[in-house]
Amino acid sequence: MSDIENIIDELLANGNPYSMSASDKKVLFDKGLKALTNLHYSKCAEYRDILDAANVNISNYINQDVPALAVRLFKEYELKSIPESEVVKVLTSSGTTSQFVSKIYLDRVTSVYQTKVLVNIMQSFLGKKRLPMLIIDHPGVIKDRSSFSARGAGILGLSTFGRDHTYALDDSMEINFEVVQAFSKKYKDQPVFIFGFTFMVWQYFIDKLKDGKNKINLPSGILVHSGGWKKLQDQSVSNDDFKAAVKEFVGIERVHNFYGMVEQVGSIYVECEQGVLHAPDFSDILVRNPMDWSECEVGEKGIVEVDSLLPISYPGHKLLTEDLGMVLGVDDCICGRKGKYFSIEGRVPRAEVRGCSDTHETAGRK
Amino acid sequence: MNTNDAVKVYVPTGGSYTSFIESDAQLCKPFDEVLVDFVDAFSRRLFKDEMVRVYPDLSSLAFWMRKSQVLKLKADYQQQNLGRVKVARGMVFHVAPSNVDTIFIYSLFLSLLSGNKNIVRISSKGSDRQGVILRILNELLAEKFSVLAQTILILNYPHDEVVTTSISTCSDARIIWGGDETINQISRCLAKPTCVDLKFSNKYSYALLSVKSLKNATEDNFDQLVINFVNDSYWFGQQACSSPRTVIWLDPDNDEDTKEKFWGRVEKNVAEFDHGLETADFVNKLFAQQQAAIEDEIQFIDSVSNLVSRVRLKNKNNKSKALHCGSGLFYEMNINVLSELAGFFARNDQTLSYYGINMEELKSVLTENPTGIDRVVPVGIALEFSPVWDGYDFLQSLTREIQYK
Repeated sequence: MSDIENIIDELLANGNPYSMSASDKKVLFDKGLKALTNLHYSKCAEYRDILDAANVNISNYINQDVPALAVRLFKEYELKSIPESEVVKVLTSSGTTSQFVSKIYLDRVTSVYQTKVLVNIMQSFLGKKRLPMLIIDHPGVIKDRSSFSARGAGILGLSTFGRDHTYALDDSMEINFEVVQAFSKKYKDQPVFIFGFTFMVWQYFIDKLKDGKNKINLPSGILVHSGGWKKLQDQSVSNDDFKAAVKEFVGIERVHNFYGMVEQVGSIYVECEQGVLHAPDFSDILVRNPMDWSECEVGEKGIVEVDSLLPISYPGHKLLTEDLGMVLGVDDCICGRKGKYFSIEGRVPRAEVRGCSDTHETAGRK
Repeated sequence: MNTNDAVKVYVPTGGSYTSFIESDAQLCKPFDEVLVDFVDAFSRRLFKDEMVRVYPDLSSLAFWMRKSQVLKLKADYQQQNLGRVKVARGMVFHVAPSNVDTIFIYSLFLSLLSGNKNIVRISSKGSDRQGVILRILNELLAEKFSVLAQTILILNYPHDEVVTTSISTCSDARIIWGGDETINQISRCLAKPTCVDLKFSNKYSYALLSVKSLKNATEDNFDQLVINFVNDSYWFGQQACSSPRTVIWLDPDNDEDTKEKFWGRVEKNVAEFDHGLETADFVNKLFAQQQAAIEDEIQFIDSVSNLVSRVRLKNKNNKSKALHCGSGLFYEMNINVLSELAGFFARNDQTLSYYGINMEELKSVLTENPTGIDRVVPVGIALEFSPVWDGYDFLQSLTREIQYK
């Protein structure tokens, strides 16, 4: 068993995924990220090319020397550190805004760790018992099991925390009131787990309940949602607005957003009771100054880098995202969880395309 | 929706493209007095416009169009065509690029001076600089130069082959600027069989600098070169086709210190320059650099900030040229002698701006095996427009010769 697997296993055995203070975490990440860097350098030619170009001396370097990969590379190249025969699953991003989708190649080990770590983190919010689960989506989204969209992978990943999986929407994206009402009646006196993508929850669930014709009440529910705020920001819906509406129309008080991406499934960043996102022991975030990639101070906005110990089958352990964010503090959140806590401040605004130079924009194209 | 509804006319005020196409206004003679006066009036008004203070490059545009310059163009043109009869082609359709928002005015004026009628499709994005130009054109056409209102039409429409074809079928020449995709889209639309197309496609440009000359330069000359280089490179965020993207060092001595000094000063200068680079540009640049690392044999060279990103090419093979995103990304290569450049350039390589180079020697290298490069200019004027561009002579191409024997 490799170094990195030992590290992940120890963290999993620990039980509490928010237990490491900054100094312990640094020691662990120095070791863990280095093991991953060495692994991918030897197994992935493209990754080796990039580190060589960046003058990383692989026999003598520190983690700070290693550049984070631009996350867009996963849309352009098939980056993996395993032979084709060991690929058990290919995750793809939903790719609604780009013609290219990210392709993430998983082997059995990485895939299993993604699930285990996700369980470990979610248990901190949901408890160890499997809860009845309501999924704010339609059942068709997980049909093809060999090639998942991010949405399908997310749902399937989180399904392990639930039992009696119930889909709230039908194939035409309408609320299946009969089914949802039966679910809420059956479990009205116990906690239930509700999951959906932020935009889906808003558009196809909360919004459809606003007319008051049909009511759904899930006061003991815990809503977990993810998938980015872009579409809601366009409608000027903030996290607070979202929570207030969820409380008003469905009666849910416990709402946890999480930040994650298809390039690093598993080691997600969940919003705590205080409303801020937390880095678990398995992953970390760094906020970088776009002018020189130096690390920003606490409270300073910059580009988010995500580091994770889980990417064993592909070189995705250190990624520069296209999200803006801000570290809000380290180890001292009132919720009691250790590690960095932070906020996401939207995506990097698209640069004006001044480049050569398609004047002939097609009508309707973005 | 009727396609005509999507056509927005900017110049002249209240103009319509269908009636413009149908009008049978007579063509002017090349360099007709009214044309020269019009360009002169435009130049004067632009010089005086208060926006020139905000956008100093507008004054270089005005300077380029001043009367003495136009008269010189005229004299050169007449000299070249001594004893020949040349007349306007007729209607010229200009499809302007979006990356350099003022270039359409050069294209328009050169065609106008040739005596042609013009339809110009400009980018819908608009810009302050573009706004100033359109306003002044409208003022002039409404006042003293109403006689020319039938010779200029500036419009925009979302890509629509019906409109493009309807304009193309009455055009005698098309000047198509843009990405390769735009050029192909427009070219696909049928035009008059007698129509000539001038295509200005994606281009790539270089700076060729002698390290020895730099080393021996006085501090003042060194700094001036840096200023010139920064102007060439950063004015349009390195997105202009003529902005250098690869620096070729003539450096038989491998003098890294002088190069370091050069880039250090460039970086300092850019920091004080209105470069307009933003977060997304740096993100795009990181992506481009990492892609380049996969595609080519390269090495990143440290710089103080992301304003300047240096990438050393380990050999002349540079597949990732096409992935270059501008924003202050420089590929660098070393040569020992100019003859190494024989046959090096590609047909879509445009400008070679130089410093400290033996011109005779360079000329012989570039003409011996003429694989590419359309312009060779000193560092500092890479962005200066010229009536000979991308290998075309505008004035000659936009007039036709009637042969008498």
